[in-house]
Amino acid sequence: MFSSDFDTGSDDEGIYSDIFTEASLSGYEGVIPASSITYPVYGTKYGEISIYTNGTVYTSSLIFGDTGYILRRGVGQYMGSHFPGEGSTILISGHNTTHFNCLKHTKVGEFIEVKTHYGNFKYEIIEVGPKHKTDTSAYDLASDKEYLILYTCYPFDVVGFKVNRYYVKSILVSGPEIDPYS
Amino acid sequence: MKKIIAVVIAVLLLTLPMSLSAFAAGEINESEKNILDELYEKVAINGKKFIVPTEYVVQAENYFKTVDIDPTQAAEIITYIDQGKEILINSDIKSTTNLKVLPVPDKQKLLDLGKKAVAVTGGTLVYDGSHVKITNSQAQLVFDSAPIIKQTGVEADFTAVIIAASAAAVLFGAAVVVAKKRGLFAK
Repeated sequence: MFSSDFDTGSDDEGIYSDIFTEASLSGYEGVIPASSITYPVYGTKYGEISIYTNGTVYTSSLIFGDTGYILRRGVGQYMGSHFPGEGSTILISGHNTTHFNCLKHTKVGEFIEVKTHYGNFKYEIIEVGPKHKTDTSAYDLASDKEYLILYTCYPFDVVGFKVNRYYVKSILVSGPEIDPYS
Repeated sequence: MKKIIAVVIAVLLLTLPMSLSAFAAGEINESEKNILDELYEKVAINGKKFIVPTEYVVQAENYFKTVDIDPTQAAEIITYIDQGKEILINSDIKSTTNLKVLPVPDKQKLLDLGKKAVAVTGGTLVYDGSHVKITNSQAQLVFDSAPIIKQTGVEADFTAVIIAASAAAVLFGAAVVVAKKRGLFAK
């Protein structure tokens, strides 16, 4: 019923693959045919996120899916959101004590890089701050612009049940475009 | 059961692919595009319009990117979809744009159709009373109706501890009250 950092096991133990580490990042540019991309399934690492803030770079594995099992291993993409390069919203979560603790340092104007097995993307932070977890204005999964939205539980350093989330919203600056119909 | 019908609509679409090679081509073919276009708009059946939540449609879209639709087995699945449409056409809903208000018996019928359709491709649909999860024949999760925004802190374990501690405190306090009433505390 609860997701937790301290779960000792789950039904999906062992379902974790990596198509990023061994991929040849040829640096796709321009338009990428979707038929040339191996799309990840649940539990697959397909990239890395690097957040440039606080005078350093915080890098985490990017995994498709966002269950507790996945969030212990990296940051997770909500399966009902889009992929980098598709021109819509990418929604990614991470634990506030580990991979996304750095979000508390982020500021508007800073940058986030997403490296995937099919291309590299750069986003600029345009909005940061807390919202209630039920506030749907924090994201738009049907957006016609490519936003990378990172979130984690808030406050960062308070133990207890949290009803707020800290959102870091960024917009695509550079990266290839995916054509889904070719 | 609130979102069950919208879920099942997406479920029936997710079951269209029959050839579950793990990493098939990522393009969306014309059949899949037509289905997704219809889902992104209100689904109109017999003058009644239903809305499938965006997050369900996108999950279906992301699943289509990992498989290819094979028309042979799809025919069986399409029969289940047609049966589902009949339920919606014959429903008592007069005018609504939300599937949540369907009667429970209709919701159950659609859920059963979804399970049959998923089973055609060797998948499994599980409904635990609050969420629907679908796994493919390789036990990989391909659909989850869980809330979009997750818990991402350590509060879960602590919540359980707090609940347990609160329960213990209540029991202890009740025991003290009983003891006082019975004069068990010496003055």
